[in-house]
Parts: sequence; C-alpha cells; structure tokens
Amino acid sequence: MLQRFQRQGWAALNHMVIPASRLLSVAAVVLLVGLLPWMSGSSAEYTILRARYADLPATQENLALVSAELGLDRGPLVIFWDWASAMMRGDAGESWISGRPVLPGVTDALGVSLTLMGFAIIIALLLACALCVPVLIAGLRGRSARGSGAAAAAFTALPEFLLAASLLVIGSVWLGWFPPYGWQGAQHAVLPALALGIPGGGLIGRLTVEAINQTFAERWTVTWQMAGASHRVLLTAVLRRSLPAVLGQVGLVLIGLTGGAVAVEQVFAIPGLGRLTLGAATSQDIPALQAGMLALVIIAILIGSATGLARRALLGPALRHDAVPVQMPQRSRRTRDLIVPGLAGVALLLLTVAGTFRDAYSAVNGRLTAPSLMLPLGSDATGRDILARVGQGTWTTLGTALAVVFACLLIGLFLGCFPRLSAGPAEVTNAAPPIIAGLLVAAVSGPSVLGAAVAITAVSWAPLAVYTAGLVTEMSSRTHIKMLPLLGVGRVRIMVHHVLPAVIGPVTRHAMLRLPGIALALAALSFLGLGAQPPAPEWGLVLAEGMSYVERAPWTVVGPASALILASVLAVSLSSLPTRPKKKPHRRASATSAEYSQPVG
Amino acid sequence: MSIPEDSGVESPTDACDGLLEAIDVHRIFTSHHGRDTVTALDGVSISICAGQRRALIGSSGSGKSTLLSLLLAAERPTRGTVRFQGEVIEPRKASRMRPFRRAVQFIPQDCAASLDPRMTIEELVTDPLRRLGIPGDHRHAALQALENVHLPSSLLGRKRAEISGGQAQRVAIARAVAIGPKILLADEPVSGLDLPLRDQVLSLLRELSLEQHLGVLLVTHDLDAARALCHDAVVLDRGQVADRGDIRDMMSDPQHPATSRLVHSMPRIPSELMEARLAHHADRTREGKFG
Repeated sequence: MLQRFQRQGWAALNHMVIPASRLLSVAAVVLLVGLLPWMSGSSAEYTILRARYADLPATQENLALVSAELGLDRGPLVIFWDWASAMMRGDAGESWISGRPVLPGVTDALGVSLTLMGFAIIIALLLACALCVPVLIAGLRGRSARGSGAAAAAFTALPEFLLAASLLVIGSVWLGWFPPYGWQGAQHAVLPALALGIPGGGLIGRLTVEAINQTFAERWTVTWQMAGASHRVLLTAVLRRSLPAVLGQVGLVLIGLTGGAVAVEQVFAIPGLGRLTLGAATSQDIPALQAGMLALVIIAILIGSATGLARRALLGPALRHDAVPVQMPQRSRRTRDLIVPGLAGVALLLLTVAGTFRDAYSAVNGRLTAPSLMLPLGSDATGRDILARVGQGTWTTLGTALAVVFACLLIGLFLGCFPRLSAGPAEVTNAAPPIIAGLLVAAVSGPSVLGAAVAITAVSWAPLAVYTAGLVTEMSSRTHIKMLPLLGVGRVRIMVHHVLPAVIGPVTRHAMLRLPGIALALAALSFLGLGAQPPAPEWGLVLAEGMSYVERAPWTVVGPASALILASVLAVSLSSLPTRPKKKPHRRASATSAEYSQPVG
Repeated sequence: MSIPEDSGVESPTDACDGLLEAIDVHRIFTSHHGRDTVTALDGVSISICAGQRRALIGSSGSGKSTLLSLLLAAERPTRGTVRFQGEVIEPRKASRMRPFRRAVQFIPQDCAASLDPRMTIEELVTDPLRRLGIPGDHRHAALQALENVHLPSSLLGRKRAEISGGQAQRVAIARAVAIGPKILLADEPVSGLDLPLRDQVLSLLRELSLEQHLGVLLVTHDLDAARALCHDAVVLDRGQVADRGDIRDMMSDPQHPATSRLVHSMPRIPSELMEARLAHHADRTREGKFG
C-alpha cells in the first residue's frame, strides 16, 4: 500500500514539473519588472540626472544624489519589496521624469490600447476567416486547395511597424483618406487597427489553412463523406479537429499584439500603453515602465488563459487524457516551393551587392535628392546615399541576426536536452514579443545593438529548444541508442557522443530558416530607437529616419521598406517550407513541438 | 493461476555457474496521472545458468519483454528482486553496472536497427569493450568475435548501410559475444528473418553456447525456434508463469491451456525435418558457406 502511495506521489510530482516551471517563469518575469530600478543602476542615474537637472555636471556626487533621491541605494530586496507592496495597494509610484503619479496615465493608455487591440482582433479574425473559407469549400468538394497565394502570404507577413509605415504613407499621405496621427475618433482607428490586425490575421489564417488541409487529407474525412455525412456535420468535425492544433499558436499571435501595439502606436502617435511604455523605456522612466510592463504582462496572461480555455472547451476530456492525436504534416517539399524565397533572396542579394561598395556615411549629395542614375534610391535628409545605407544595412542587420541565431542555437541545443524543466521558460519567453523584451533590455542598459540582440535572443531560443527536445526524444527512442546503456555507455556519453551529433544538423537548419525573421525583429527594435543608433546603416533605423520626410521625399522610405519587404517574404516562405526534402514516413516526436513552435515573421 | 508443484520451483544447483535469476518479480505500470495501472508481471520467477539454453515463450503482451528488461536491469521491478550470482541487481550508474554488463549481454530484436549507422563495424564491436573496461587488444577481440560468427574480417571498416541484414544480425551477436558474457539474453532474434537465415542464427547460437559454455535465454513466440535451440521452456501468460518444463514434452503433449493455444496456433515443422535442417546448416557453417 505504501509503495503504491509512493508511486502515485512520484507520478503526481512528475506531473507537477511543467506547471511549477511555468509558475516560476511568470514569477521570474514579475521579479524582473520589480527589479528594473536596481538593474538599470548607474545608466538610469545618468539619464535622470540629465532629464531633471540638465545644468548639473555628471559628477560622482551628483549621481549619488540622484541615486539617493530615486531610492536606488536601498538594495535589490528592499526595492522589490517596496514596489510589490505599493503595487498591492494600487500605488504604481511616481514618474522619475515628471514627478507625477504613474497610474492615471497608465489606466488611460490601457483603455486606448485595449480598444485598438479589440479592433485589431476583429480585423485579424475576419481576415483569418476570409483565408479559410476557400479552403473549406474546396475541401468539402474533395479537392485540396493550396491556400492563399504567395503574394497574399507575403502581404500579411509584413511586420507591424513596416505595415503601419506603409499604410500611413498610402492611406494618409497619398490618398488622404484617413488622419495620419492622433486618437480622436473612429476614423483614427482604421489604419492602426489594420496595421495591427493584418499580420496577426494573416498568420492565424495561414496556420488554420494548413491545419484544415491536413485534416482533409486524413482518411476519416473520405469515410465520412462516403457514409453520406452532410456538409454541416463534416465541417463541424473538421473544424473541431483542426482548431485545437492551432489555438496555442493563435494565443501566441494575440499576445504578440501587445508588441505590435508598441510599434503601431508609435507610428500613428496614439496615446496608448505601447507608446507610453516605449517612451518610458527610452527615457528610462522606470516607474512608468514598470506599470506599463505589468499591464502588458497581465493582458498577455489573460489572452493566454482565454485561448487555453477555448482549447479545453474544444477538446474536452481528450486533453485530460493526453489523447490528442498530433497532426502530421503531409506535404513534402517541391521545387516550386523554392521559387518565392529564391527570387526574394536574389533580389536582396542584388540590393546588397549594389550598395556595399558605395559610401553610406558622408553627406556629399544634396539633401533629399530624388532617385537618379547616379543615386538609384535617392538621398536622405542629410544627403547620404540611400542605396549605400540599405545595401550595407543588410550586413549590419543580417550580421547581428546571424549572431543572434547562433546564440539561440547554442541555448536551444543545451536546454533542449532538459525538455521538461525548460518547458515553462520556453513558453513564457516564446510568448514574449521581441519588442517587449527589447523595451526591458533598453530600459536596463540603454538602447544599443547589443541590447537588442540580447533581447531577441532571450525570446527566440524557445522554438529551437522545443525542436531539439523533440528530436532528442525521437533519437533516444531509436533502438541503437536504447541499446547503449546495456553496452556500458553512460548517460552523459550517450547524449554527447550519440544523440547530439545526430540532432545538431537538423536543428542548425531550423535555426538558419529563422534568420530573416530575427533580422526583421532587430529592424523593428532599431525602428523604435531601441537598437542600432545613428549613424549606423541599419534597415529599421534608415526607415525610421525617412519617416519624417515621407510626404516630401517618399524615396527615403521606399528603399529601406523594400529591403524589409524582401526579408519578410524570405522569412515567411522559408518558415512555411516543409522541412522534408522528399516523401518518406514522418514521425512527429512530441506534441509539444507542434504546439509551441512558432513560425518566424 | 497455480503451477504444478513439481515443475514450479526453480532449484538452482550448486553446479550452476553465473546464475541470473528473477525471484517473484512484479511489474506494474502506472499511467501519467497515477490513475490507471497495468500489471505486466504478476509474481514471476525464472533463472538461467551458464551453459543452459532456456526459452521464454508467450504470446504478445504476456510480459516477455518486461521480464527481459528486468533481467537486464534496464528497469526496476515493482516488487521482487533480480539477482546475479546471489547479488541483487538494480539499475544504477553505468560505471557501477560494468561487472554485470560484462557477464550478461543482450541481442535485441531488431539487430540492424541496434547498430549505430554512423559507426563502423569495428567501432561497433570495440566501443563496448572500451566502455566496459575489458583489458586486451580490442581489435584482435573484434576479429575473433567476427570469426566466431563466421563473418570475414574485411567487414571491419564498413558501416551498417553497407552490410546485409543477415550480416547485421551476426554483427549484433558478435558485439555481445566479444564482451565474453556468461549469459546471453536474446529478444526474438530470429523473428522477421527468412527461414534459411533463421536457421543459421539458431545454429550459431547453439554452437556458441556449446563452445563457450554460454547461457542463452531465448525470448520468442516461435515454438519451433525454441525447440531448435533450447532444452527447456518457460511459458508466460498474462504476466504469470503458466507452464514450464521440457520443451519437447510441452509440444507433443501440452498440459496448460496457454501452452496448448501456442502449440496449436503454430504452423509446425515435424521435428525430424527440423533436426535435419539444423544439421545441414551446422555443416554449412563449419564449411564457412554463408548466404
């Protein structure tokens, strides 16, 4: 009896590992937010000294004065405890810059942001439905549709900041249909909601289309049709089978709206939570940042729980019994699938080669010169060659992205060997939008390329760890690996000499497919002023520099935007590329890899 | 299920060298949530000595593989003990398991899949010798082992993909034999092989057992294979020992319903024919003719 009890105890404990790791990860995020003042340390003191007492020199005594005034000399535990207990009382502290209470501003901004997100979610769902309907109809007629075309996929794959900039240029500047800035009425919400909703809706749509196609490829659908199931019955069954597989991802996409909102609110000058947090991070106004961050985290947790509940409702008891069959990707790669990424890659290469050997820093041309034979992409506001800046931006952006990919690869390979322990951190960091991570890092260390790279690494390793974990599980179940302990090979040696060498190739390929997506995330941070600093030729930064002159000199935006669009096309077409080169039976090692792996873009 | 007194008790004789025994082992699997349990083994005792050739027979799901993994100390019994030469054997760190691994080796069901595709045959055979700390010239030991299973030394540099299925089978046997074990546990080593190959492997195992005084526990659902190789058999049924005794008696006059089910469901080859076939293959083996 005792033994039995112990056994059940162990089983229960085993079952607790993942929830405990989740809880700890959320606690770590809150701790991180609470400790921001302490972590920002001397960097914040300096910034605040300049913001509040512009006339005082930055001497050691003056900095100590600021530190004492902000209460930074109290040590991390006291700082966290004071912040947490004040938060419990509903006191979010006072702004370091203006000295006014933070909370009223945050609640106002929260209302604006929630409204914007609500509109964006409606647009996202409408777009997702529009993408799914043709596939459903084709499926009911027994044909398999390939889903939306490559162009549509690329359009919906633009990152929010780029789409927002493009919509602003087209809808407000050229067509003049909508106001470019502000938040006074419904007409102000149209472009921002589109910019925020289209990328998410496009991604949800593509994932759902994929899932529906896979479901229609399963044999039971044919059996049901043969048995005379009505369209309505079959449709319900197909949706019930397809949706749970994508709901986890839908949750991630919706949580990603919090990051997108930062960019969109910044472009359209909307007084929302994202813009407030961004402002607080760049000016290192830590109390405002803490309150804004906490609000964003709460929104993310609420969205995550809502999708979790929806999934539970759809799956019912199957979820409790771990009996959800994993959908197998059916399609193998065809030469045709390589056309779009190939073309985008070649175009990007041409742009890079053309720009690499030109001068990207000297203001030798006239200001805002229109494109000509000598200056194919025109010049910017200080008279620098835009082609040179965009071409060399490829090296800056992709070079940093490559370093990030490499760091993610190492972390992913290492943590992938401990799948259960890393489940919580993987989920939390996977759900954290890169922009939010960028805000945190910038607030701590000031905006820099390194900071942006660290932030993106921190939230991009998870899919690689999950993929590694899946492969390690599959590898470990192979007969020749299971045989090794019986031949006297120890656990560590099995992992290092037998499992990892077999896993490293596919994981590296997977990591490289994420390169364009990570480059876009870096560009987004630079666009918001959280990454590369002037005068570096970086795509996001070049685009941000051009945004102020978009009415007079649209070419300042067209150059960097086209490079970013090419990178987006590359990112999406690569991420949706089937990983199998030719048809052979495919085993999916674990349900988690299907659940958590998030396509880049 | 009760077992007749006379055949039910395993009595290890003093002459028994290198005794591996499971005593009244139970193995109960618990589901993830600890709610459902499956009893795979329900009080099974079995033993095997060096030089002895014993079959463990049973239909699918009778608990054969579970018992095997307990005997190999790959997992722990829920209740009961596994002993080797009187000492309790449990899963431990690889370094502490070495003496046991040197004495008790294993031939898996899918031999070809048990060979790492990235390693050469030489590495496959010598690596376990290094890991288990066996002294001597490992390359020489590998050559000797290949010779024992009638494989040419030219195979040493090849990889799994470059040898045939039958050769892979014998490489797996060579890998186990090179270690110099006292007892060899073989999990369905001949299922899925065509008849000539099956007979070759069985006669090879018999030869090794006779020459090297090797104990062989053959796990199978194939009564013919069991009869061709073994003296006696233990029949497992639903996690319990249903029957045990001389395998020929068992087949000619099955006493227990589980045994008779197995006997009657097998397409049987008359024993004289089987003997003749094995003798034929033994001759060919000695002459070094292998397909």
